[in-house]
Amino acid sequence: MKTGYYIDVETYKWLLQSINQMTLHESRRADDADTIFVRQGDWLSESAVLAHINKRKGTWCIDLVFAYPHEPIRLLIRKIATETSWHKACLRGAIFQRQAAKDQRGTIEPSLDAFSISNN
Amino acid sequence: MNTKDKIFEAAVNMFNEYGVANVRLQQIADESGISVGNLAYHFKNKEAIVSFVYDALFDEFSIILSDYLLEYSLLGINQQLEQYYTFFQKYKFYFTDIFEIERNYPSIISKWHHYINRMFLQIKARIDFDTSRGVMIAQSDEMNELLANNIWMSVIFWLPQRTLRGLPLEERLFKEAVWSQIIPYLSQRGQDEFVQLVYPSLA
Repeated sequence: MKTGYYIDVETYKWLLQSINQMTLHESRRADDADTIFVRQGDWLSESAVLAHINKRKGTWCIDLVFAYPHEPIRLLIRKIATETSWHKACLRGAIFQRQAAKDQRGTIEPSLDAFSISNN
Repeated sequence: MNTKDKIFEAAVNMFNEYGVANVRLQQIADESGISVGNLAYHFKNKEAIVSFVYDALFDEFSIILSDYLLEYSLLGINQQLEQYYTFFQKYKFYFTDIFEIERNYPSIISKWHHYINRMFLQIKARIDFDTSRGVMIAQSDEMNELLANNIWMSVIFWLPQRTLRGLPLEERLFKEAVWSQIIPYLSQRGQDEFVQLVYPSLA
């Protein structure tokens, strides 16, 4: 007869209770814990966007740099695409930057005060 | 189908028809279309076949238990009932040979206790879940325990009592018998959900 691993009755009861609580049902409203993933990504829509072109392994890589103006330390760099020539990469990078940036004119910039640099 | 699967199917059929105690290896070999020697190559004795069959039985039971709350509406209860019906129909000897197994196969009977108790705990947890969801009327813990016990008894013993009384076995009648235990405790919202989702499959 196959022998198996069995959990005791109390653990199994706890497991069933946990499944009950985890299961979504319409009578429970979403709370902060359910929507945290949305708020964690909010800053991207308010960020300044720059297209950064650099050569890696013989191809021109287009990276998008997202910088949050109110908290400059919050920075995100993502590789978007590659192109075979520098001119094509610049053109494509500019298109991506225009699409991603909230401020199309590119006037959002970090404020020096946001750094909170101590001179002591 | 390989030889071991043929032996398994034959053993289940023989156990259902004649009972675990009365089946001989020759009968299993004849039913599976192989020689007794070939049978002995795969299983050295009858106890090995019984253990093999019960291992498969408990594996299937685990699968039914693992579907707990896969569907959170009352339809989920209906779906699990369909699985239980198919399971208990396939392994009819689970009830007829319970005392034979208790006497001669203590390891199997202790596993039975384990699975049956898990089944009861699931029924109780499901009642708690549906009460918190508002489809069942809130009651005391003792009443919920009694209700879970009644539902469990309906599921386990419906097939044997129909067989004892010489009445036909139908999945629809089985589900009706179990739902008749639950319906009096449904709230208005639960009754609406039952009529909308479950009743069409019973009609």
